[in-house]
Amino acid sequence: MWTDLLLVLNSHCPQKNYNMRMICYLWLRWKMLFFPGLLFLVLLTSSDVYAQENRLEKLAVPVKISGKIIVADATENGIYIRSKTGGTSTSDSVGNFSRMVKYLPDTLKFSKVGLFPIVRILRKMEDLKSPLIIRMVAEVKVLEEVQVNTGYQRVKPNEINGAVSVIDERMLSARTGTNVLDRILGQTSAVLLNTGKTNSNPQNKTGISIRGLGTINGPLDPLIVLDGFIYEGDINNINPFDIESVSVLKDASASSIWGARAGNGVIVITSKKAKLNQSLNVSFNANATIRSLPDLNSLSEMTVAENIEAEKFLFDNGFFNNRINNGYAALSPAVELFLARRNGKLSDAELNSKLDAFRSGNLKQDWLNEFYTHALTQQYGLNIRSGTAKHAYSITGGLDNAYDQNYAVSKRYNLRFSNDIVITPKLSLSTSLNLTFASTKSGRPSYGSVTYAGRQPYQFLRDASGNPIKWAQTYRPSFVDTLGNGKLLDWNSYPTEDYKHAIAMTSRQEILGSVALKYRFTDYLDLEAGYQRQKQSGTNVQHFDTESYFARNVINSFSQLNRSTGVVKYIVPLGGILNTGTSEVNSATGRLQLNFNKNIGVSSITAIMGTEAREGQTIGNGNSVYGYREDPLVYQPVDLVGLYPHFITGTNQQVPNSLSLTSNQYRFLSFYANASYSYKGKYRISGSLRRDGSNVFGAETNDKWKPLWSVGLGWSLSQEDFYDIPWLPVLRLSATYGKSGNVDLSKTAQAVAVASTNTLNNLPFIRIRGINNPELRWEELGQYNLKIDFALAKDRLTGSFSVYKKHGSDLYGSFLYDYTTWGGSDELTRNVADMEGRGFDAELHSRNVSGGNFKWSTDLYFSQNKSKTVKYYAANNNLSKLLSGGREITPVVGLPLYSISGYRWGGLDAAGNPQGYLNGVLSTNYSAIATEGRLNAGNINYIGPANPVYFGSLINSFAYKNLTVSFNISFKLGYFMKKSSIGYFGLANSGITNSDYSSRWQKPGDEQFTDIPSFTYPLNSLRDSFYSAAEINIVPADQIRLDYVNLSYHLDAERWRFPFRSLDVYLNSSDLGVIWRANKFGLDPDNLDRISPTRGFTLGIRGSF
Amino acid sequence: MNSNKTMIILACFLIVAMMTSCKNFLSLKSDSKLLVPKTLNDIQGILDDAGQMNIGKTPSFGEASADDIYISTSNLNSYSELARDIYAWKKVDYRYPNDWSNAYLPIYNANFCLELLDELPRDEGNAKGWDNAKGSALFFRSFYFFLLTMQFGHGYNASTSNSDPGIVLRMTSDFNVKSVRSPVSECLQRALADATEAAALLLETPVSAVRPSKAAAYAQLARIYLYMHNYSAALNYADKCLKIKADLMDYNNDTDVLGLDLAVTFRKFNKETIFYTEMGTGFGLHTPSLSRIDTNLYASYNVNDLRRRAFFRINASFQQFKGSYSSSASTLFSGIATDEVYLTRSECRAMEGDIEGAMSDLNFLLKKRWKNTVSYVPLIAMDKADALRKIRLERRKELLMRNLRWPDLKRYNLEGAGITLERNIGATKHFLPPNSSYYALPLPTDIIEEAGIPQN
Repeated sequence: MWTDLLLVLNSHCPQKNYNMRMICYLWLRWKMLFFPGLLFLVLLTSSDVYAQENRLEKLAVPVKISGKIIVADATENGIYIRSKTGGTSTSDSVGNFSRMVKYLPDTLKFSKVGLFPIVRILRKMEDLKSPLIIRMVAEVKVLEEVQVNTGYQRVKPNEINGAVSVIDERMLSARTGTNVLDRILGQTSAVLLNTGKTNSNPQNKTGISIRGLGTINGPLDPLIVLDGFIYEGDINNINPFDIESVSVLKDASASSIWGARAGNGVIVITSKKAKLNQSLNVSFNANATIRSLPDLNSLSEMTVAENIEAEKFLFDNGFFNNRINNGYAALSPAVELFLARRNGKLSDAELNSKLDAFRSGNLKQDWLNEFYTHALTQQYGLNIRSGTAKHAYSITGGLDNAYDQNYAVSKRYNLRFSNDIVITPKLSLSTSLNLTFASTKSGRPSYGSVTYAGRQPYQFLRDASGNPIKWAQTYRPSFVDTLGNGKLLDWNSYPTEDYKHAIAMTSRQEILGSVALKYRFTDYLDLEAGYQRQKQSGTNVQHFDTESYFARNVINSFSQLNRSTGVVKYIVPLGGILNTGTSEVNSATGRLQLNFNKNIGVSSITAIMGTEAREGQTIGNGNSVYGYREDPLVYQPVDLVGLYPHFITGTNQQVPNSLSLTSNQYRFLSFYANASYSYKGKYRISGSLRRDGSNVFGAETNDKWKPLWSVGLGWSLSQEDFYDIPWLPVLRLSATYGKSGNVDLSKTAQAVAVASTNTLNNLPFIRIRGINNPELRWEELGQYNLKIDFALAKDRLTGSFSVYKKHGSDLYGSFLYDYTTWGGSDELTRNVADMEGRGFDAELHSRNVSGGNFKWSTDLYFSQNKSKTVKYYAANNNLSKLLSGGREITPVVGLPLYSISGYRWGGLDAAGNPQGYLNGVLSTNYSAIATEGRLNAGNINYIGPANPVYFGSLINSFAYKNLTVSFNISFKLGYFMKKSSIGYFGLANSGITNSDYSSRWQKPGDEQFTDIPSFTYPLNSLRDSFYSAAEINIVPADQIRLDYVNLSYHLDAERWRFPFRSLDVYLNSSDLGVIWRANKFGLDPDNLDRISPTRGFTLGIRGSF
Repeated sequence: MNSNKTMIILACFLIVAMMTSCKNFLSLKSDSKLLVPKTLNDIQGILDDAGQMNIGKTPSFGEASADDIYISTSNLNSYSELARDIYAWKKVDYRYPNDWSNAYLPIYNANFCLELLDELPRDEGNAKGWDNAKGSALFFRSFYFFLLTMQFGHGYNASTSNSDPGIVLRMTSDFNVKSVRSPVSECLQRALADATEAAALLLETPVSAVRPSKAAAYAQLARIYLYMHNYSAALNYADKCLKIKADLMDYNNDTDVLGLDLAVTFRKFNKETIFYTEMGTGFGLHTPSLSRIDTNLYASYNVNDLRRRAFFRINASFQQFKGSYSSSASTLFSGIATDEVYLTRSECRAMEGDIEGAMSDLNFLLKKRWKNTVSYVPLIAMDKADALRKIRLERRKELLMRNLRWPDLKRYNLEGAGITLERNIGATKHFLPPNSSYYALPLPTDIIEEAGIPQN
């Protein structure tokens, strides 16, 4: 449907005028959006909770019925009774009622605020026997006090000593987007999305850290728990609309219950669930987000004229001679022209006019016109919840449909059922089933993804009459066009066409089911048995059809042309290439848990004890099919073993393929207990203990087990008799300490080998993957936490403040070693480091103006996180390790884990060379400067941390009557980044350009005005790396951003006589960009060297009835 | 109380669950492809890992420093300054990865296998496989120790080699053992001892040319003795090797010759290959597509010498090498082939005074390289010196770009050949005098820093 729409759009919407195009898009797409929306509303409003009775029969004699309404634990009665035909009445204070029935059938509805309504249908005369006994119970409110869900227990925030934040549904919906983790950013303290980091740590998919880092080389992701079980699937499978709340467990006492993988904190996600005795609730949400076009000019690149000038300089110096001499290597368009001039095939005038044509071109604009569009995301969600005394159910459906700025499509369907059944008063059963279907399809090439002769391109995409222009990606068109006497396939690439023939698709399905059986022995003791099974399977398909450059290139490379007969022998058959990969993630968890909860006099005890076994498996395989055609479906076998000469280079090689087969499995076995004792509600002591075992490969059995524990103390100061601060009615202190762990299953103590098969001779072989390190242990992380919770009178200001200190020991770290032992790496991983993290998290919620029509509230989240390496058992790490810009965790004793340093800068010399210091004296001996830096760092200055020390967000909400405006301003402060500048080695060899080129040193005297070195030849990569790592390129990264602005209107359902409980229309604008930055270069610290995310505008509706 | 009873029962249940079957549950492999090597099959598997034992692991610094290739100044300017300095025989500061790390990887594997074999008793049933594994491990260690010694140690001089620093003779997989440079003579003796032991254990004909064999071990011994100027011993082992494998390709019509004029001339694992390895990429100076063959050397190939076509490709105005037995335009064969053994035997025979035998070996080889439509006129030698001159020229021409020129230069100069190497960079001329201390090439800087061993 959407591709059709695009075709329509491209023919109907003006191509050049972007404002018009956007409006046109909006119109076309909102039409699409409203149609299902309307249908949806019609369907919902037509339903009726009452049984419709068709025929009413009037009774000859009206019957008087009387009865009694019994309400458990109620002091008052006075129930409102309504009949379909006989009007209304009210029961008396003890519940007696009587009324006349004139028609049959009749429906009596008993209701009262706070009680679960009861409907009694009277069909026959027998139904009219008196007395009618009606039992009513209190209705469970959906919106009740927020609870902390640790995954094992649900407790009230004041019943836990640990540091936990809860993000409720309202806060989750302040942000838009299809990923639930994105929605917690800025809505709580301590949670930070790390941008611009390239570290290779395992399990670093989310980029999110809680209270900074706890490891150097171990996993960085927080543990994600969904509905009580560790979630191993793709986080994108979770439908944010279906989420009721997210609890972030920050300190060790909160997270140690999750054991060996909880060292980085735990994010507990809780789905919406129905409660017993809850009336039918249908809620829905529909929205659409449209994004502006990206600003390709925001990239700091050289202009086409400068690029051509630089290529001319390199050409004149003979830089391209190697490529020119080998005859086939692709050359950039200007170099082809310079070569033609050199060979006398062009005159100076012709050369200049051709170069001028390139100079006047605007590839970025062409690219935008050809390959970019306004991204659109649509999200629909519907949830139905209901509960009786014995059964509660919830059904959620979700549909997300997204179109990105390069026309890539992604879709997601979610369906979730959950049931709670009371089998007997002692036995209850809960089940849930989640289904996810998601798919993506590739779009058009993004800017920068296609190069020309390996360089930044400036060639046009189409000629004057709109025909695609060939781009030389690997080979020179003039070479390959004549190479095979016309017998080979076209060996050129056409960017405007190629994406149509190279399509990547992925699809993903997930089934997640769980069953829990709970048996209550007494009112304070119960036993829970739970089991969860998850299966996610994914497929990715890359289809390069016959016309794709990829397929043509592979076919040509392996073609064998008999030049005398002109017959081509195809080693890779004509046709397309289909690469497929499948992956499967399976997991199963079983749990047995005993819960104890009892009040004894003024004391109360809560305890759990249980055991849990987990098993998971990841399997994958890959395959390649050649000579593939879709319709009719054909493919051909190919020899993947034999060696065949490359048509151009002659090198004998095997046909490339993506055959693979993998299988990984892990197992964890855990025993845990957690208890808390509270005295008079004033003092609370808590503790937990957990022992984890895992199948770490190669470890001795003893090392597979890891005990973890925590203790906590809480004191409700404000409940003491001596407490007398009337303006501060709530004041609570708590302290915790605990140990959690980190385990990386890929690190082992023995020399572990991988089995495979030699492509050279098909002999099976075994490869040593890492050398033996018998001393390897699990990482350990201890954390102290001190917390104050407080509330001012009438809750005008509530908040919490916690300080923490964590100490990681036995951390995995790499250290340089004498690789004479094993040349496989110059670094070994050992338990070499200790780190320390400290900081605070503050949350403040203020009701600045309340009551009346105007309301103003402010939420502030403010965190500080400082980390440093305190021990490192390898002597060779000094400031020189931090020159690469702080993108990786690098342990240097006494400094933050992410830090940045720079060479001491001595300005440019009279020839435009950058100067550093050697033994304290200005120098341009870059090799010696690097050596001095490496040996004693005497010429390197430490600049500062490369990750924010202070971060947080400020949310202000203003409401006037039914209109609410809220906006979130986020900030990250106290850190530095390395800006990129021009590097001539990279410019020459890889065509990496930078706009600093235009202000480079060009003539003597320029050194007074500029710090950008001259362009010299021969190239000197050491000079480039010195300049790039000099302190002059390090700038403060502090920034303040406007994250989102939300405008919502609450429709007054009562007054407007809508059949809704609530109905909100909202408008959201996100990614509004930087509003203040400390650097003077206009750089966006979160999006260094890439295009910043474009602004998004969301229009949506949500409500319930 | 009833609830107390149930609690006790449940607690017991949990404790029992704790005690039993944890061990089995946790003993599953975390990756089905992983294993802890223990068995003989595992050991053979490690030795069969051609990607780490044979391909891209032999040193190339010497090849880049020798005089068979040159690089034009304009091309050189597009290289990194490290490569430019190396081209000018300057002492450079270079780091991981390099020849040292490449070669010590197979040495680790060999040591690791030898340690595993010590734990694994040899018996009737496994004797054949056990012997082959042990022989292979010893051969690999000898092969790489020798290559490193040829490159990083001074040439063999009986009077000084007991004190000339050689390489680190690492004999264990334990990284806690400190690295120490052993004298050149000890390094060569170790390589000899390992190869001698290997020769007794290995099979005559291997399953694949990437596996060591008895012939390879003999050829290796001949190589070492030749380097040590012990021509009688080298002759003995060259002879032993050729008794097992003596095949030569006739460049006129051999099935292993894909085509003399093709971009790649020879088939991989051709019949001359005794033991297959490929050279590392190193500093990129010896990359066939970028380096040019010395003009005088090229001119010395007769027009009827098929190697002129088989080995060279005219690229603009210069020649590039395309005749590697690796069957690739970009990588170089650096293993052992029968042509090398013939030339070794020929040279040794000449040294031992058997001029006739020497020239017959040489002519036997050259005839196979000669165009069969033109009659081959056998080379004759006036005397020992003439024979040696002719044999050594042909040795250089036949074994081009196999990392043998550098050790040969060391050997010839120590015997008084007085060969001075010359490089022209722009207008500047650089010279490498005979027996220069630079012939022991500089070690990687980070190894000097980490291991605390002396630099050359």
